[in-house]
Amino acid sequence: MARNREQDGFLSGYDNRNIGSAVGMGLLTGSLITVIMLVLSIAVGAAISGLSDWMRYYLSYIVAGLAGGILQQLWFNYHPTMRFAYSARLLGFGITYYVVLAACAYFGSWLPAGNPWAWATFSIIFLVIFAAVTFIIGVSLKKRGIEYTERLDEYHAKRRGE
Amino acid sequence: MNVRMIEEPGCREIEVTVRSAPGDSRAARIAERVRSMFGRLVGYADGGSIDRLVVPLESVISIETAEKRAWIHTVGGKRLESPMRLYELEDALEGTEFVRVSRQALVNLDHVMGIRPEPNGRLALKMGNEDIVIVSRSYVSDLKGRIGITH
Repeated sequence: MARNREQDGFLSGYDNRNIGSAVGMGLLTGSLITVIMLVLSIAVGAAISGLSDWMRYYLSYIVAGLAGGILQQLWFNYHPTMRFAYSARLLGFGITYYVVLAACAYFGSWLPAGNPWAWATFSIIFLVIFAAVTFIIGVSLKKRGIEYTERLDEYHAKRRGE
Repeated sequence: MNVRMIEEPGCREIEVTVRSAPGDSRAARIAERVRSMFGRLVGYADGGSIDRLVVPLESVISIETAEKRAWIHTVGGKRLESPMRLYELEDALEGTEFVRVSRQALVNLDHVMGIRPEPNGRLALKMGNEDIVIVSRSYVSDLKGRIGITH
């Protein structure tokens, strides 16, 4: 008899059966609490004495982190985007995340404002790395995909009695 | 519960009669299990209809849970609500072409048109109705074993 697997899983909400999953869940919830506390403290500080450079700096990192998580879910775990090939989604994630990172870099003064070369270097390094990763992963997945489809076709043929 | 088997010479088909008090849900579930053994599932049309529809297994593309109910997706785009829960359907469909691919879904391998590997050890299945179903990591090895993918 099949197990009722609805009860399994790291985030299933049931008692964690080992220390690893308990600590993991703790890290996840702790991270969320940390971000909330940081945002609240920046909000209070900004309300009292205006938005300082260090507040903008930390806020830009928080936004970059949150946006990375959200974009990752939208491009790789959201059903409507799953119909696209992984390499297309990776490219989409890369482009949208680049826009967010550039905005955060500007807002948080990650790069010297009056130095276009710094910005150009940042952009080129990011986009080149992303293009390379997209290409390598795309080639590897395509190769495996062809093999899996061949096995599936053989399976169907066997079922039809061919 | 009493179970009786009656063998009659000349009987050409197996006939199963489930007799119970009115509204006994256990009897309904037993009848569903027996129907699925004969290659059929029962569902109710979307929208709260009480009209029962019997569909042959070969026309079922996938079964998914949503809104705490199991939904049968058939060829032709129909969506029927099953009176059984997903894990009950998984038990009832053991030995058929249906395979569990996640906590939320069973798919009919006969309606899987394509397989695509995904990072993080998952698979994406392209179904006959153009839908994409994701195979969770914990169900990938079962599916690969069924199809004959060894790595």
